[in-house]
Amino acid sequence: MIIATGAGAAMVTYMANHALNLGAVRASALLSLLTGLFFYIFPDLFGSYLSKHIPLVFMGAGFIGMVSKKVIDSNLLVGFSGIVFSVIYLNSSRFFAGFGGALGTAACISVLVSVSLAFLQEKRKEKKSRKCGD
Amino acid sequence: MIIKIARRAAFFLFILLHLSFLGAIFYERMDTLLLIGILVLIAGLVSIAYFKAPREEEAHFFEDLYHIIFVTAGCAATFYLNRKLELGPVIAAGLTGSIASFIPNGFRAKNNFILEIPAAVYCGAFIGMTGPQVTTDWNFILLAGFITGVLYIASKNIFRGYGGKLGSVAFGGVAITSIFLFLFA
Repeated sequence: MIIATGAGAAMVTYMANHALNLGAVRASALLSLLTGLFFYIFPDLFGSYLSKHIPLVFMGAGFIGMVSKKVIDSNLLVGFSGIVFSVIYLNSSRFFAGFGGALGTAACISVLVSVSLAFLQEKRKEKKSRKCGD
Repeated sequence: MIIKIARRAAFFLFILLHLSFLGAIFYERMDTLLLIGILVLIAGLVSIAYFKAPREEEAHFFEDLYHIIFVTAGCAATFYLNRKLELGPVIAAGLTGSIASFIPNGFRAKNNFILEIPAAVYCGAFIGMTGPQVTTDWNFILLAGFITGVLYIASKNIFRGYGGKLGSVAFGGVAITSIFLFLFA
């Protein structure tokens, strides 16, 4: 559920940011606010564990959706970043518990992973096309 | 020259923050081999991305000092909503960011001064999400807001358009404030 929330939140925010032209800040903040309010009004709908963590995961993964199209141009890669974020979130260190910005840091690491994968994929394609040219 | 030094310092601070974040998980979960493998893979991929990230040179510095005020305002507003009104970190930061995002519409302005307010305020909002296990002190939050504002300006030329950048900046501000107060308070 947490991993699905991470992937979904990143993709929904990305779409709200680019397809609906809300802009990065409004897309992330507004969707997080709505999710937070939903769980504030219905705190027992999914049990205490999920009610506590889903809004945080949604907001954190939503930061991934703030990414510019110049950096990541694929909704699938954004969703993949959301999964990476959830894995980091589920295993995050107690040392940094409660630190403001920790969610954003995990989101930034997840974005960098996808950027790197996109770069490696492009390099592989280049190599292949060079081989075909030879 | 100052811009170049600020950019480099911010860039290496980002690397340090991200690797510390991953390193802390690594240290606590050394018994889980699969997770260790995943973390090593993530650290490797992140390292590649650092050196592929475009770095831009935009002339700015002293003219951007006003960002510190907006970052600190965002953090104070969120901290108040989070702790005093007990709305929780997500609603507090979401509400602050949402209101800030409408400021440019309200002014119908197209100059950078107004257009850059939402990002600066939202960056500050992440500091206001800081939990009670880290601090309950307004002085800590305001100092973290100021330091984050400085980092926000210094990091303007790096990781532009990268999701999570604002959060990393806020995390840097909170971490530096914690270290500073641990050493000197």
